[in-house]
Amino acid sequence: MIRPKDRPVDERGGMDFLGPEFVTWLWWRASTSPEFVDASGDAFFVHVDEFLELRGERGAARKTSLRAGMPGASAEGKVALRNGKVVTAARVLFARGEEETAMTIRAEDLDLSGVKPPKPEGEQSEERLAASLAGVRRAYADLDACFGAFLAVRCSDGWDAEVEKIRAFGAAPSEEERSLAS
Amino acid sequence: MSFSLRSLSARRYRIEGALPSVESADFARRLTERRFEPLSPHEERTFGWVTADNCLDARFETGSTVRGPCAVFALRVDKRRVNSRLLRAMMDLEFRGRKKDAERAADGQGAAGPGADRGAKRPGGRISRDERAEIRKALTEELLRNTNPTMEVHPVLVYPRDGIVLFGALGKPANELFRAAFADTFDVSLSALTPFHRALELLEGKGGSEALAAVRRTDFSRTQDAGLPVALPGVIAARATRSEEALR
Repeated sequence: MIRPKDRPVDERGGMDFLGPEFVTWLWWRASTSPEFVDASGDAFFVHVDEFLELRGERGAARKTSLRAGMPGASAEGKVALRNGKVVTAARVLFARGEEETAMTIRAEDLDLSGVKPPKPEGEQSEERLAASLAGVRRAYADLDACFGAFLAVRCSDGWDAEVEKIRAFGAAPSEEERSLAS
Repeated sequence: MSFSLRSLSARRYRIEGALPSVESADFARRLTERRFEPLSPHEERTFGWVTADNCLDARFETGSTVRGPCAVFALRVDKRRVNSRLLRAMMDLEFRGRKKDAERAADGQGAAGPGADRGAKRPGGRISRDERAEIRKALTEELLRNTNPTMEVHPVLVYPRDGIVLFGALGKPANELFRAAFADTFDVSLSALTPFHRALELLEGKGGSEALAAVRRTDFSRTQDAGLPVALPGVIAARATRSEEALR
C-alpha cells in the first residue's frame, strides 16, 4: 500500500503571495520592458496574451477574469490592480526570434498549463518529440530566468521603487483607454 | 501509436535523492515492479506505470522510456465507483422485500418457506444493523462487478540532467498519488517547485532563506484603505472588506 510520505505542511513556505507578486510584476515588465536574458545570455521577449486572472487578498469572491483580445492592455486589468488585486494566472508568450512558446502560468504554485512549445521540425516523429521535449525544458528555463530577475529586485532595496512604478502603471490609462481617447 | 506532445499542463518537482540512470536496467525494472495491473472484480481503485505510447502497455525494457533529453512514461489510475443513489435505491428495494417476507411469515403464510427467517426475527420486519451492513456489502460488490472503471492517464517527464520531473496533471489527488508512487518506485522524494522552493534554490548563492526572510506581502493598490465609514458595526465592515482578520 502506497501512502503519502512525510512532507512539510506548507509547501509555499507561508509565502503564498510570492507567485502572484511575481506574475503581477511580469505583467508590468511585459508591458513596459519585455526583454529578458536567459542563462546563456540570449534575449527573449515576454508578452501577456489572451488570459489574465486577478484576485483580491484571500478573497476568492473578488476575482477578475479577462479573456480574449489583449487583457494585459485592458482598462479592467488596471482597475483590478489599482484595487489591490494581484495576478493569479496569466497566459504568456515567450518569444525568441521566430520561435514562440505559449503557456498559462498559475501563480500560486508556478504550475504551467497549456504549454505549447514551438512547432517541432524533423521528419521522424521521434525527432519531433525530442524537439518538443527540449522546447518544454527551455520554457521552464525561460520562466526561471524571469523569476530570477524578479527575485533579484524583490529581495533588494530597489523593490519599493519597483512597486511605485507598478502602481504608476496601474494608475495610468490603459492602451485601450488611450486608443479610445485619440 | 506513439506519444506526442502538442500541449502540456504540468507541475514541476525536484528529485531529492539518487535516481537510477534512465537508460539503466534498474530504472526499467523498478517501473516494471510497479507497473499498472488491471482492477480485480472487487477493487475500487488501482494505479501503476504504463508506457507513454500506449496506456494498455506496461512492459518496460532497458532504455525504452528515453525520448530526447528525458525519460517519458505515464501514471494510469483506474477507478470504479459505486453510484450511491443506485445503491440506496437497491437497498430500499431489498429492505421492502424482506419486510414483506416478514409480514407474510408473521401472518402464518409460508412460515416454513425459504424466507421464513429473513427479517422475521425482529418485530415488524425490522432489519438489524448487522443485516443492513451485510446487505450493503453484498449489493456494493454486485454493483462494483457491473460498473465499468474510469481511466486517467497522466504523462511523466523525467529530466535527469536537471534533476526534475514534470507530472502532467494539476489536481491535488493525482499529484499526491503520483508523488507517493514515484517515491515508492525509485526510493527518492519529490518536492514541488513552488515559488518559495524555487526561490530558495535560485537564491542559494545569495543567502537563500535569509534573503527571503525579510520579504513581506506587497500592496500594489495606490490607495490604502480608501475609507469605510468608521461608525460601521464590525461585522458589516468585515463583510464589506472581506477581511479575514475582522471576520474572526
